[in-house]
Amino acid sequence: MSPHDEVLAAGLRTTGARRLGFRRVRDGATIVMGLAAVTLCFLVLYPLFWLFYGSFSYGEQGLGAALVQFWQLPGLDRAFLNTLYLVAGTVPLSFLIALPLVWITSRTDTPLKGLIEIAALLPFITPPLIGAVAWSLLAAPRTGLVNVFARQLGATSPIVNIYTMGGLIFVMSLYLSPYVFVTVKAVMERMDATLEDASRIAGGSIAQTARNILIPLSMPAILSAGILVFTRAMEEFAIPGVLGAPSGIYTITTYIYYQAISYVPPRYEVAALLATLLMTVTALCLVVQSRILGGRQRYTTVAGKGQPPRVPRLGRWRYVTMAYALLYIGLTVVLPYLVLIYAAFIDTWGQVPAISNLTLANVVATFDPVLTVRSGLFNSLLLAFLGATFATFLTVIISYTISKGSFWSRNLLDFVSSIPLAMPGPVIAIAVLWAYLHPPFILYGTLWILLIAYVTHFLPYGVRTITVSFRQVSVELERSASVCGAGRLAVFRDILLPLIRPGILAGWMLMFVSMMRELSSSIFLFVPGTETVAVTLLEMWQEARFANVAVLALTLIMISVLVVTLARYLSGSAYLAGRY
Amino acid sequence: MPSVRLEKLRKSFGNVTAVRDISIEFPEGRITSVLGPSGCGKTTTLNLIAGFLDPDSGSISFGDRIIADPARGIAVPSNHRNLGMVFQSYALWPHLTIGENVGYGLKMHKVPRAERDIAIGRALERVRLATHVDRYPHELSGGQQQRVALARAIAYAPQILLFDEPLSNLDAQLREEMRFELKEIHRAIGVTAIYVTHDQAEAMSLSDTIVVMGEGEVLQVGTPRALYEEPADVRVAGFIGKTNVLNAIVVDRQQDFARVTADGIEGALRCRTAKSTPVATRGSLSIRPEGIRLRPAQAGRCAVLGRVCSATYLGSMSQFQVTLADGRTLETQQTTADALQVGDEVGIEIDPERCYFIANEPPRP
Repeated sequence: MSPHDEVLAAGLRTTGARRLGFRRVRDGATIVMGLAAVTLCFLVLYPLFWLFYGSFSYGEQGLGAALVQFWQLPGLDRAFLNTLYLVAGTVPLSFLIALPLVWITSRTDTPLKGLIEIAALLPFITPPLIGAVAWSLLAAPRTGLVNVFARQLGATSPIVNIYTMGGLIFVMSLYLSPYVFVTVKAVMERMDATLEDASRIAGGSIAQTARNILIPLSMPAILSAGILVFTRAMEEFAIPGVLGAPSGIYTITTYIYYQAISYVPPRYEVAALLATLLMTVTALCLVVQSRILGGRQRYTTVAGKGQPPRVPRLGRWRYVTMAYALLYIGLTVVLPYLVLIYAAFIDTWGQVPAISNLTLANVVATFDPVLTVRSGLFNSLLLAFLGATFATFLTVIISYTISKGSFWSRNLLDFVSSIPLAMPGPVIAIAVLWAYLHPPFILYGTLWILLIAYVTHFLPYGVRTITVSFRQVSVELERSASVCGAGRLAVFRDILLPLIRPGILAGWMLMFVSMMRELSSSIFLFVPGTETVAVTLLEMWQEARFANVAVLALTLIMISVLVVTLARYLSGSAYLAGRY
Repeated sequence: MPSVRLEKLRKSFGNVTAVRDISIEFPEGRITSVLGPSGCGKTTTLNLIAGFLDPDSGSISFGDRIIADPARGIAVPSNHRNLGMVFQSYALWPHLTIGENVGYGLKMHKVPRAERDIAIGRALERVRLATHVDRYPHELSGGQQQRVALARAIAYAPQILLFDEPLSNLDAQLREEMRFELKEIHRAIGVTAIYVTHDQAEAMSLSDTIVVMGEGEVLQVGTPRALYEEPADVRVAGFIGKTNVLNAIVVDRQQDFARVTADGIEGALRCRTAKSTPVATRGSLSIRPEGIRLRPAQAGRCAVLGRVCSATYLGSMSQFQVTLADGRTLETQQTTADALQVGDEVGIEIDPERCYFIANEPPRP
């Protein structure tokens, strides 16, 4: 042994003295994990308890009498029917829109394919509220730009009317079709093209191949996308709120808002009962969806790497497919943004834009303290930053427990953290409202109640993203650290955390952007002084301040894009430049 | 350097018992290989020693210190076992430089900065990568990454080194070089090393003692020569090199040799066997392919006859499969390129030195 080794050995002997010799020590890490688990359970289960409690508290009258009264509420049956129509229209239409796009981008030689692929995802970036507002600016019966111009050209009645069930279904489908696109496209890309080739060689035509091979193999994805669109359409608040409410078309979500919460006096128990109903249906959908995806093993052929798909030549038809894709981009992105930009900078609504009638006055006016735009922006930025940061801390610990913890803690936390997935914004809001309107935790009227609703609502997104990151870290990387003498905390700090940093950042960004634009629960929980951006936007829209709405909408989009870009930049370009 | 002792160690996963009450002593300062096919429990055993798994029963001790014993509630966590380990996947941390990877264990053992740097340099010199200290793992080749993993495992001078199939991700030529290098490094640091592998050549060239495992049990512990020439179990004979196995019974004994009758072969054969094997023992006869010599049938007076059913020319030698009278086939190999063709009648000569009789119930010592 060299003198150096002696020193080392001496060092090792002293550390040896610290050896405790027992594995499950109640160390700091265990306490932190326990605290996070308790926080999660409280955040999710406490409001849930109050929601159920609220649904079944009717004062002196019994359940039967309450239900009879419930069914007799004016307009409730219409709201149910409307929701049904909306869903029944949106699911097929969003498929009709998205499936050709999937086919165009993955199985044809259409020009501008790469661009189309990116553009097909753009509606994701636009919050439904802004999409709905843009479409009302375009096609509202009296004030919509299309109708205003038509009138100037001599039309006597509106030529388009977006404030109809048809309009609702149309806009909803445009904004939900990316879900179909993403889900089905993913399957198409992974599918082994030799499976299709085999069908062609066996004598099948393109159509037969699609019917016998492509469609059956992508069935789980198609079904799952269908259920996703179904639940999203059912729980959507902004689109029916903006496009349906003006002509009295209420869905369940807008009915809860306009006929229960904004009603004087507020009918909280009606809201609670409807919210419970909404949650039950959503939960059922989720269960069915996970069953479908759970049966995936039957379709293992889809998982293989295989050959890249062969691309049939479309010849002249490829310009038809390109035109279709461009039409889609025009309707979802170009037109809505153009009308927002027009509204933001035009002097007088309805003028044909020219240098002389463009103005910055709207921009200045929007940020005038008379309006709530400034406080709304401030509140939303504060809520989104604090909410996303707190939720990220919480989800990192929860996800760690889910991916590394014991059998019981893993399953419990996995279950509890996915409960909010079955709670659409209005449901979260009603539950949180009940919970924090009553002692011992009275938070109604503060920003805290919004923060709690946001964290609860978006927690599952963070948990999903970060759990996946944890699972991607090979267990040998942790074991090798632990053999080197690192305790659980050191392994977490030195190995896991740096390795999953991109995942944490992605989770934070997802939650920040979602919270920044949140409407469907904020609208139930705000009071004057705690407005958020989306609430302000909706209020200004109701006051027909189109120019201000447009300026604020564009500001919101820019903030989201800026934050995402900044966060990516700050995260250290090394991770994204592919150093690993 | 402590020895590593396993006593009646048992580990089950659900209703599958991966390790069945095994007892092994790994001598101090030596490399001992644990060899076996996949699923034999060797990796589970290593994980138990490393502390990644807790045994259901039995005990593990390093020297005098008990490290795991569920009956006494002892389970020292991995980070307090003072081990070094080299993993099959290298398991280098991608976000740390080579120097940081190698220095991590020193940092965890609270070695001061200056000494740490010296130790990192020394460890990297041992594996001839001292100039790569500021690189990242992905900038290195597979072989270099594995050497870094080795440097990391020895940097903080642990008393016990564990190897989990460390060379199986390397290509054949590199594997042989690394084997040699590993042996050299071990000679220099002289720690107690446990080397898990499914590659018999690796085990035989690296270690003086090999533990052969199968189905969660220890089948045999011995030198490479003993395992090859005197296998205690048919599974050992089959796993260490190729062999032909025939059911046989002992008819006569003389010192190290026995005469046995084997299925498919007329008359008695001479073979080696354990001293304690009595006459009339039933068991298996293991005939190594190189112990069988084929001759053209008319050339000599061979007791056993057969017909060549496949012939493969492999350069330095040729492989043949021979069908015996009862339809059984024997595999043989010989260096002389006798012009034997498929379908030829051949006489079979069997070298008693290359035959070993294994009793069904291994004789108790």
